[in-house]
Amino acid sequence: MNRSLRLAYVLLAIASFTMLAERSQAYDVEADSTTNTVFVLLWNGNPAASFESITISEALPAIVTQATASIIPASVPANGSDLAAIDFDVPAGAALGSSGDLVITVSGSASGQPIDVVLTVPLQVVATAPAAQGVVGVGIPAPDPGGVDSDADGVSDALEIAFGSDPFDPASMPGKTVSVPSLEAIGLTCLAALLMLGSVWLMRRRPPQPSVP
Amino acid sequence: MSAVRRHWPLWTVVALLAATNAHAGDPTRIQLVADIPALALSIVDASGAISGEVDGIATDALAGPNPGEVIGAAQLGLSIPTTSGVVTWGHRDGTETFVAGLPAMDVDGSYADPFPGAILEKLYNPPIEFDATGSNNAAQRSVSLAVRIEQPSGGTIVVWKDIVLVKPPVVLVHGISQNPSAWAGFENEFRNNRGFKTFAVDHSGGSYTSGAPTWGGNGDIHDSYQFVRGNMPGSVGVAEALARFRTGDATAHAGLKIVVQKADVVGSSYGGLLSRWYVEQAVDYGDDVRKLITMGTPHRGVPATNMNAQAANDDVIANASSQLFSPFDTMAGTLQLIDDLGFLRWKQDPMDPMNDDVVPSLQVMTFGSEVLAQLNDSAPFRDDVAYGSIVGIEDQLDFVVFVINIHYDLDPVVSLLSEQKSYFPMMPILDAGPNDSDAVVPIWSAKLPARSTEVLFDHLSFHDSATVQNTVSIWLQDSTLPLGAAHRTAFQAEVIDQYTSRENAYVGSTLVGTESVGGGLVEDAIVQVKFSGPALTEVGGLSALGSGGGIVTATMTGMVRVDVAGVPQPETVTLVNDGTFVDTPLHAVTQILDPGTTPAGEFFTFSIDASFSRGQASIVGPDGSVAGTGIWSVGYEISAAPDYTQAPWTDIDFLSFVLPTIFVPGESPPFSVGLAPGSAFTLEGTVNATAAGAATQSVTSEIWEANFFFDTLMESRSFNVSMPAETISGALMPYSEPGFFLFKNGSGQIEGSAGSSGETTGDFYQFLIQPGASNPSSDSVTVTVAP
Repeated sequence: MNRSLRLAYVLLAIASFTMLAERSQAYDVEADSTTNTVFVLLWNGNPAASFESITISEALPAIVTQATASIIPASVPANGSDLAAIDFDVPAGAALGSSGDLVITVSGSASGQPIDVVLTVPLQVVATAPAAQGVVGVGIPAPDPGGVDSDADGVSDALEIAFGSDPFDPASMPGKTVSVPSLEAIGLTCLAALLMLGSVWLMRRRPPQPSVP
Repeated sequence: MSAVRRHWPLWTVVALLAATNAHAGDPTRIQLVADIPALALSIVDASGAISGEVDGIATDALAGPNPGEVIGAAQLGLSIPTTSGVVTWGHRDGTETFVAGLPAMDVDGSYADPFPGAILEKLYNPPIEFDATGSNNAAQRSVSLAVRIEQPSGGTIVVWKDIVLVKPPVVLVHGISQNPSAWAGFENEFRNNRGFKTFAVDHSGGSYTSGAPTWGGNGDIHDSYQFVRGNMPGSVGVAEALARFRTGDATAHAGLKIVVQKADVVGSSYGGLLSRWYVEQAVDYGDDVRKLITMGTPHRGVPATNMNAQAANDDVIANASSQLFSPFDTMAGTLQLIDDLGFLRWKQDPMDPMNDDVVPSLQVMTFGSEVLAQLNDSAPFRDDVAYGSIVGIEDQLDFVVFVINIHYDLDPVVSLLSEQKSYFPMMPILDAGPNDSDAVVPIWSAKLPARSTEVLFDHLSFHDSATVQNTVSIWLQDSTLPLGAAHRTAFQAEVIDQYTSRENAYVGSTLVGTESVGGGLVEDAIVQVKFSGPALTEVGGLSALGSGGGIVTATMTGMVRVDVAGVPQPETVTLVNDGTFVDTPLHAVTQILDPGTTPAGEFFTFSIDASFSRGQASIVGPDGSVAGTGIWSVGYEISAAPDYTQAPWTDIDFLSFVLPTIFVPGESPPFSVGLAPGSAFTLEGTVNATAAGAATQSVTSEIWEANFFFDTLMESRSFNVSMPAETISGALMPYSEPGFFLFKNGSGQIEGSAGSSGETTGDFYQFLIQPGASNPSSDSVTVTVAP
């Protein structure tokens, strides 16, 4: 591996870190709450293989008494999406400020390749939690198999609205639209972009090859 | 699964909130997006021998001599497509949870970085052994290789594949006069109960494309090793076994493509030598053997094959009796019977008495053969192959109605009930006693020094022995089975002490000074007597001692044990005439032999000359005589304790005594005589020696004319015969006396100095007058007068 390529990997890693940093905040839950729900929009990036044989399992933190998958799609079509949901309960005795990770594993396979999608959902017990958090649009998401997909981006109009993206813009996808970016995240992202540009500049500055006589 | 849409009226929600707010928390809704990437873990054969995705890998590595060193191994090439995120290679544990890395190399194998820093690809090395404890009898077990990608967009992806680990293929190589069916029980056990995929080589013939015959598994090692190599039609050898693993053949791991580089080989008897030749000598060795386990393989030869070879091309041995059937059958007949029964092929064409070629395998396994020398002398064993040997010590082949130890029972002996004299006196010693061989191969030949085990089974019983099967199964999964280098030094340094080459190296060797040179238990390696002397001629294929007489020297070569190291010892070797019940000593020679540096108890050679001759109707030696002419056998014995050995017996035809007729040098009878002085006759013949040693003995020879009533003395002469120092009393010693004359007298009749015939033609003969014996006459020749 040449030096420039190695540098590009390093920069890519830094860029990845900035995006993860944005998600390091915990989601708020209230003590003694039932039927809290995690909606997961499953986006299958496989161009020709559906995501099949889907199962969902959960690993519970101390502040969750039980979790149950309430929506499990039979399959997610190639270049398409579908909705999964997990309901969970927070016990009455959960102390304010206590926290833990609810780990949700969506298992399935695409074209014979088994894949686990592991979602770590950090939770923190607060006095009053927002009704909706994360990638939020308008309304409550609901499975919409065969629903109208006006921009043909693989996510139905109803789910795009629920997850806050533009159903008529194929470039606008749930999760890909930063709805409420923090200043810190913007700053780090810009820094990453500058560094990546720098790496491209460095790669272009490779010394010219000696000419063959 | 269908989901329930929540079409609840707003007032209901408000009412519920109002009702529960006082004593319970409000539920929250968390919305996430998870990308399922187009991401597949690709697992291929790193060697490229298999195209496309593979299902598993054989544990076909060896532990090197240094800590942590691994010799050769199949490897898997693992890769994932370009992705963003933090990539971690690992495995899924028993709870299907991703764990970074592989916990224990000797159980799960290990990852290697073909290109350091290339995070998207790895090499996977399987554990050295399928099961380090050697006790896992499963055909396969699985390892879940997995990659975790922490996506920058959120969520962690884990992709994995379960691969199977399997034991390397086991190639079985049968021995001489066998075929793959010899392994039936062994294969049944290993395939069904011990989780191995076995493949039995068939080098018994019928499909060999090189054109060289294999004679039922007795083929030439230079050709037959190709069956082990495994590219012969109709036979599954190493190459074909590996191919079947790779293609998921029904005889391998059906439907599973298994990456594999090397096979294990188990060779029985000659099959072990074929395998060693392929691995260690073949120019086209495929670097594809991991372990080689031999069972009863004669790494240093089988002494009995020397006898077999000798029986095929030496009439003395062929016509000797075998201990097994003495005195009812000869060695040739016994071997023929064994051949007919299918136990042992010995001649290339047993039905053709004119074809004396033994099968090549017996030539290979002959003690001291060229092939064994090539295998063992310079650099035996490979450093990247592990070896072990199973050594049998049950020295009786059990054929239910009788048992056989070939070193004793196929020992060719003189066909006398009372005297079981061996032509290979040292052969039983090579198999030194109870439990010193498997009845065919001696321990010293079958044993590989760094790893061997002795089992109480005979040469034909290894395959179906549970003990042997268990040992082989353990060794095939034992990472400490010693590499070739661990065997080599000890193998070459090993002194095959009193049982083997040392005492036999002298047999048939040539004495140069006090040292024996050459020899070995080879074709001519029998204790022998060679005769020399001008009087011994060949008549009808036999050595004959005719009326010419003279002293025959018997050079007797053999071995005696050293009584006390470094001390010259007297030995009496006696040339004997072979009697039906009692042998007659002809000449006992005592010499003080110097054993040189030969240790006590071992053998050293002697070469002693003795002499014998004949009388008119007897065999005579300085120490005795036997009356009679005809065919007699002579040989030698050392009968003084503690030595006892015999020579092969040589038949000599003692022809009837004939006194030579008179003759004229340069003429053919009838002789014609002219006027005085006429024709000169030389009278030749043999005279009976009256004393031993140098002497002058006076005799009278006469010419007589034969008449109807009274013969007429024509010429008479007394003269002295010089006897040499080696003269034996009673032996016929030659004389040649010229100067006898017959001539035509004035009357035209034949006349001599002592009388006249009175005739112009007549029959004349020689008459010998000798002291101490009867006076013989010769036949007559016709003499006429010249016109």
